[in-house]
Amino acid sequence: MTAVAGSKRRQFGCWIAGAAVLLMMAAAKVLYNMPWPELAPALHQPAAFIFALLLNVSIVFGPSVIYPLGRFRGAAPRICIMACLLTPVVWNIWEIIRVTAYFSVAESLYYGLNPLFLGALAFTAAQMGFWEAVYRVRRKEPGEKAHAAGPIFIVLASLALVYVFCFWAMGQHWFYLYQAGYKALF
Amino acid sequence: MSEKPISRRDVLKLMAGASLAGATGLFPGPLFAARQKNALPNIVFILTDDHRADHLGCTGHPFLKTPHLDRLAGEGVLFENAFVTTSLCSPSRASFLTGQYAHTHGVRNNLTPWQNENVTFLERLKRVGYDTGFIGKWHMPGRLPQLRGVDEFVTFTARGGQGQYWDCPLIVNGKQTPSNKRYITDELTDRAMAFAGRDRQNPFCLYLSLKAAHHDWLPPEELKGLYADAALPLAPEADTWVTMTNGAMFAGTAGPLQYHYRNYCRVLTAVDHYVGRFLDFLDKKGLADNTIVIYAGDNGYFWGEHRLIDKRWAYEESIRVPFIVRAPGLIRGPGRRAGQMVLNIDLAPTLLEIAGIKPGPAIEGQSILPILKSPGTPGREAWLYEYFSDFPYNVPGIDAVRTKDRIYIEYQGRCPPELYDLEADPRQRKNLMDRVDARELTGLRDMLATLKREGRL
Repeated sequence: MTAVAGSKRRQFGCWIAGAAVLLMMAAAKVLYNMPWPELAPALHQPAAFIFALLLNVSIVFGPSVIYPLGRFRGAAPRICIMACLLTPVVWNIWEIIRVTAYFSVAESLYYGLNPLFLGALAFTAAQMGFWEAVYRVRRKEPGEKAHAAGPIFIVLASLALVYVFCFWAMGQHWFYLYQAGYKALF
Repeated sequence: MSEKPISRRDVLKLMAGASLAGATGLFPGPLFAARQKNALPNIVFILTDDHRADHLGCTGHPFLKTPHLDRLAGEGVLFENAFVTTSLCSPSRASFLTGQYAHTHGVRNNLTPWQNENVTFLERLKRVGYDTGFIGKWHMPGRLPQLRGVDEFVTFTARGGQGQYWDCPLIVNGKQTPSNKRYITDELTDRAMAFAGRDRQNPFCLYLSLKAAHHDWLPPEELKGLYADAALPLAPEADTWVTMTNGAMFAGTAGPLQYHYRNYCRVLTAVDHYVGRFLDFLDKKGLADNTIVIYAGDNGYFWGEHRLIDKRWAYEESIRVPFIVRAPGLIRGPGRRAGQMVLNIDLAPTLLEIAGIKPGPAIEGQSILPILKSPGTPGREAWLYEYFSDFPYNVPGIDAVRTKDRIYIEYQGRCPPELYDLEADPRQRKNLMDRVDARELTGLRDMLATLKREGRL
């Protein structure tokens, strides 16, 4: 196998992981929203519980599967980042399209900047930073410096953003800023 | 307005008339006595947040204990068909205060500010001699108003006006003030008692507006373990993560439904405890017999019904509220239940009528005093429900007409209309739009159009 073919295969593996998480999110979202109480009342509780859990876990923790899987198999950071962003971005686009049932297109686009999505993005960055730091520490040669300061900074900055978007006064402070932005724009 | 200040000429005329009447023995004693302001009853209106109508001991909740609210219902009238015209905090609160629909008073959602030209029942009661106090959650967009006719205004602006259960900073008559008690319902009850217990010549009207039971449902320490083992009466379609799907997270409900529901019930138990403390205080002070106490919620709440959390939608869990009136000497047959449909916009005209004030054409609600006095009084036939889109909450704008046994709902945007037979299908599971008789549908649409245009039928 040539070096180029090996590299392509490693990148492809990362995309496969990203696509698997995306598929899990999409399937969970569709299955959660099925009319279980009418279709199969007995299955409603366990089905809704499991699919909602999978939905949220795939959006929130997907990067912790994709990034180390891709990175430790030799995929470039750029590819890992794109694969990690795939699920939250597609989920957010899906949500934007869903809310066009209630809001205008412009409002729906602004909806896409909601604190939950920003929080999901920031937490994605934090996880990627964490796994990049782990990768650098694990792959360093004996006597070599790990150069993990950058990724660790990303972890801390991203977690600070997660706090601001979602947990600062239970997320209410940022939410009111987001609403103020809406009032100013619309 | 009907309560314009009396002029010097009017006073002279009145004195001359009274002298003449006294000299001739024709003095209309009882009539004159009725005009004396100390003959007017005190009024206490207690408004809670997100309190569902079916979450009282006396309405049959399987484990929630509300002995003090049950007592209030036992000594007054429990309205079993009480609704809000908009199921959202700010518009509903403005409707209680003004007696008007949201499209009239202008507080359409949690983003549109209170209009200072709005006239509250407190302002009008002040004009006829009441001492007035507003204590608690104001929570309407915009700056805190200089409320006309309110002698004491205690509120909070923390967390966008929602306040917080613990250590909530207060604004007392415009001044930042730390709270004396750590738990907000405790603090507000103390301040309500201080206001009501003050030595005074005039009757008083107190508007006690509690933060409870809004999220984030933090009960007092001593109630944290309450109901831990209770079997929860959640709807079959409710699921654990309905709190975190399809945009529900904006309702501030991250976490399992069951966890939040238990805390909701604990917070309501705390509300009941403090209402009891306040009622005991009225008893001890000898005020109970001359004080009308009204208890209501600003809107209902979904706990998984229709696979929803929060409120806003025009379904029964969201639009029904508890509404109890205790009015010693005024109610015929206290301890009864009333089935007439009453609304949040009925509060203001009721209190005005009790105080001898004509509500006037600006008020869209109707006084329920006749129902209090006479159980057989017919209620309204239909009313308008309206909800104005409140970004980013995932609910479209809604117009609906609610009759005694039907609700017809129209949505803005792409959601199709809905019609339910509330007698045959009280949980609103079968949308009848595909099998409705065309004449009935036209009638409902006409009714909706009239209500939107004129506020009444």
